[in-house]
Amino acid sequence: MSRSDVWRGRLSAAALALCLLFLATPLVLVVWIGLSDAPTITLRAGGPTTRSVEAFLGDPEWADATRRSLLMAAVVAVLAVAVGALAAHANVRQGGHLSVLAAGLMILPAVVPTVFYALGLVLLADRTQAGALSLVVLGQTVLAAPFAFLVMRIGLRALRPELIESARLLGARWHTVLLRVVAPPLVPYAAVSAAIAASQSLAEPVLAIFLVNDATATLPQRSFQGLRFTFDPLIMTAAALIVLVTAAVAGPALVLVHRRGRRTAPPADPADPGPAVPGPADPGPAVSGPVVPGPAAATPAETAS
Amino acid sequence: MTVRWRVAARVAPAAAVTVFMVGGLVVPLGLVLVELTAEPDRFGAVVRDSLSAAGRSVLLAVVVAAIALPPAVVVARSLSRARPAVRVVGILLSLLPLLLNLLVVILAWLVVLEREGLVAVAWSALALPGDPPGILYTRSAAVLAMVYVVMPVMALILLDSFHRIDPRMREAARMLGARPLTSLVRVELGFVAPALVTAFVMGYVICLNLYLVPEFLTGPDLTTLGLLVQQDVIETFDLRQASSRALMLFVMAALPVCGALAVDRGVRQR
Repeated sequence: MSRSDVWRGRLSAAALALCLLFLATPLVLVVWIGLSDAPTITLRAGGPTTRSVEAFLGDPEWADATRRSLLMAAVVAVLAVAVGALAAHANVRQGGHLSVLAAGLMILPAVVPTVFYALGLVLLADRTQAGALSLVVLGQTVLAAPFAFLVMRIGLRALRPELIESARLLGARWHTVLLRVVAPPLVPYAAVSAAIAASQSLAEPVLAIFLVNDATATLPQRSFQGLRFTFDPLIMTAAALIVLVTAAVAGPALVLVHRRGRRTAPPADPADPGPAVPGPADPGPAVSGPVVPGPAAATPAETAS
Repeated sequence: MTVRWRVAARVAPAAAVTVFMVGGLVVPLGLVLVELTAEPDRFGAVVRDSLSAAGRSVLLAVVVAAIALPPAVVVARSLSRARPAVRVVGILLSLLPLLLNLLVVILAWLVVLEREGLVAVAWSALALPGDPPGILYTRSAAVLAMVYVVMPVMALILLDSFHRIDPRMREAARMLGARPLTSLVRVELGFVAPALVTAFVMGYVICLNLYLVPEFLTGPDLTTLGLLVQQDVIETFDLRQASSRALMLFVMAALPVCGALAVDRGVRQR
């Protein structure tokens, strides 16, 4: 390796470090200030204390909004994984026009502006008298399902068909095959999908702003209303807790898939490093064009190389 | 299982997904279009009134996507060559802005840009002359925060394509006498060109959704079409006007996506 190659490598590493620093610094600052007991947004706040978290959890309105959001996030996670898994199964294991239609519908939310969709849900609420929170859950599931679809599709592709065939040949019934052969390897992917869907539910403010009133506010909606009309220091605490909860939920799930991928993937051919992220260059058999990028970044094929 | 059950089991997943997505997504979108038909004459007037906000939204999204593209290329290219552990950290960090509440992003940039924020502290620590630049509540603040959100997404889209570049292509270019810059531009960027188009379009589409960022970090100077739709719904309760504006926003998002699909199809056919 020549000297200029070494310098180019260092320059590239420095640029990468700078970009990652750009991503990490604001989040670290939010956690630092959010967990301090500073009354305003200032870097001169003292270090993290538990007082701000106690005040946050002791405030009935914030605590209600948090409980409501966590419950909704759990429901959205379960529904999104179910829908994503079914769509991935149809896309990977089945063919036909209906599978293509299902895959196309799964990708549609990526190109529909959220305000357009939120307005549609407002009109639906107006005409059907459906509950606002139910519609928010429905909307968040629709928005999170494409991510679950992409992750579950990777999991299903990694599943070796010969295992299923062997189980069948050995006399296992279909539900035994499903529970003992198909489900276990898919659990980490389902966990990642659920973590991402839950994070998205906790993060999505637009649907709640459009549909929900102050009495049944969710955490993002209450935070935005608080920021719009007055500055409540607990907003920073809420933001810090959201960062920590998201990192605690999504981080381990993604690392789990990464490790599993390293353990199970076949040795990579250096000439064909395989897909790193399910993107436009690897849209799969039935999906074409730009797709939402996703957590699928940590795929077995990618991490194996 | 009988043949009928097998057929049902085969069709059921796709049918269930189709029913769910039609009921949960297509029906609400259709209702917006139905709402427009109630007062079709008004659509033209609303479009004319909203043209400046639409122009601002498009310009902002294009500028943000254009600014975010070069660092996204750097991140994707570096991550594709990095050690697996570094790559995982990079991917996790890249995913965070995507998963985090927009509120967190807005507060994070308030912390960085406000009067006693990171920029001001760094300015005084480095003993730079004069006052620190007042970026907060200008258009630059919104652009910075939106770049923060879309850059990692664009990098993740590009990462796959950079990962697919055969190292022997770079080696061949070097052996044929190509300079490093030529190799980067003609070999690597040439190879990932379709992904560059997709990343740019996705960055643009995501920016159209980030209307809350300019609202809080810039103010009324940068009122976007998304914010006007929100005001129509929760302040003036004018759902027909909101429908017209939302349709404009959808067209603004869908046209570039259709263009990118056409480019993608052309490249594949070639």
